[in-house]
Amino acid sequence: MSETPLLVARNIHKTYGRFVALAGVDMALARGERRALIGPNGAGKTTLVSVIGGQQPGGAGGTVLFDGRDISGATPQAIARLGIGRTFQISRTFRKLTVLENMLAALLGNGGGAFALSARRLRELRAPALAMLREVGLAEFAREPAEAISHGDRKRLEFGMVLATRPRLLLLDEPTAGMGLAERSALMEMMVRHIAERDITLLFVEHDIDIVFRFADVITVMARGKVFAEGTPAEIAADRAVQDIYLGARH
Amino acid sequence: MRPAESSGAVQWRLVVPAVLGALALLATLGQGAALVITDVLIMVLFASSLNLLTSYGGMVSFGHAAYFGLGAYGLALPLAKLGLPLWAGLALGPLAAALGALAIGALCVRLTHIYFAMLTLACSEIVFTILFQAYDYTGGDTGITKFMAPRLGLDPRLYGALVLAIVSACLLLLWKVVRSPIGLAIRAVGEEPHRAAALGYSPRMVQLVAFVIAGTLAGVAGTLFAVYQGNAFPDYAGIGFTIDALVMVVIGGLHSFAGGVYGAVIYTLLKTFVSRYVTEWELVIGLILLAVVLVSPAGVAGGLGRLGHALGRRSA
Repeated sequence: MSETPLLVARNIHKTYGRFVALAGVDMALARGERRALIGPNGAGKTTLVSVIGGQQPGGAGGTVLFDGRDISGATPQAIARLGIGRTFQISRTFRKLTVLENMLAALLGNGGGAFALSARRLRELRAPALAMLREVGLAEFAREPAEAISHGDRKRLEFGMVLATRPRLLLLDEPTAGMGLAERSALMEMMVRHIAERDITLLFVEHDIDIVFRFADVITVMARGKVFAEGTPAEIAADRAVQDIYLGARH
Repeated sequence: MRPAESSGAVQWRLVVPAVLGALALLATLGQGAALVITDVLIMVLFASSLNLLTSYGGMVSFGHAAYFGLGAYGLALPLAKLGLPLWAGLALGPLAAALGALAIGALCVRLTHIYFAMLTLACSEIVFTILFQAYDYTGGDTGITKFMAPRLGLDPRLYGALVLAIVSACLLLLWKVVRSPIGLAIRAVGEEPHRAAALGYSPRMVQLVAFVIAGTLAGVAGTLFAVYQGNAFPDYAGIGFTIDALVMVVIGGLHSFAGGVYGAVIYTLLKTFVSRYVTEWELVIGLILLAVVLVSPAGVAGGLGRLGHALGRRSA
């Protein structure tokens, strides 16, 4: 692991009218780290992820550095091309396109050639697209419209699409939301396996505490738009203040 | 898009009979029928160009006739006012539409949904007003007439065949666009721009490319229409033509390449023949539109698709 963090967020603040969503968040992600972002609803987790990914209309205050480069206020496409991929809380795929076309679109967006008029580029990308679908277990659905596959499979598809863009940092916003217990674990294992194989740094928002403690190296706890606590799973588990505000322990 | 359309191959078993059928009709029917068929063919191209925006690009334009009108005036003005040769006018018509679409599109793609629609409407009204008010140059509401012999002075059947060839080539090009990388990008951005941006696409740039392609093809239709009529009027760029094209696309079927074709054929034939017998022909069109929206929101193309699947299941 290198000394310089891959991502640094400094004094990030964001307001919606009078509501303060982020009130000066500082965070640094080491290369190869798996960081979980937890906290009660309204803590600002998704807002922070969106600020990093460039999906905040109107931008936000503060500075975001990615690999030493200031990406504050950059467009989502510019941030994606730099190597930051993300999934959304409600998975966003191209539902009327087939599963294969979704993957082709992901490879095109990342690899260029999106403005080509010849179908040759699509034929060239077919094999890598099918290979990526096999990696996330969706090859058998290649010809199905994305809207016809299950919620869990759409989560897999969205993850595979982002993985196809070869990110160095992956932002997963509630990757297991809306899924059953067994399915959650299997999905997260699959995701973390691919992330580890590719040496991708991970920041994920998650409500399932079992998933968080099982897969995160470091946990950041947010509350009311601020970082409330930060540490290893063992440190967070032992933090009584965190238990009070989030884990619901009684003492 | 439905998987049936995902193969990318041109459906020659449908295209060849359609083209041959149109040729046979042009050859065997009289001059009057040839005029109607030519009108239908031009509207097929106009509606299909709008279909690229609405069905694939997710952009509902309320100003698409602006490019149809620019195509017509791009031909008529150089011929009537500058005395340029016909070939130059035929090239300048679509070029004027392309440049207009580039300028207007660059502004409009900055907005989405109803705001995009309203901006396209506002821009097309500006084009219409300029054509209507700049009397010294455009002839105002009297338009530009007698700058060339209608239909190049050809027999209507021959001009119809020429239009058939040009429209077929343009539709083939449009099909290639839809099945190409840029077509996939247009469909992706049209459906989920945030996802597309997070994958590295520049949504506005992709939308602008779609806007210019659609505007240029609408311009080709406008140029063909001006040659067909031998005149150009501000109405060609008016809201009436835009609404016609939108109705064609909805009747024909959103989210289907053939939607523009079916819709233009049905709408233009109804307009031509029903108006001969019923003064309130718009009422008939309105009722058909109502029925389509309520019974088959995917239009005629969607209905035919469902019928095909049902028949396929029965025979299996």
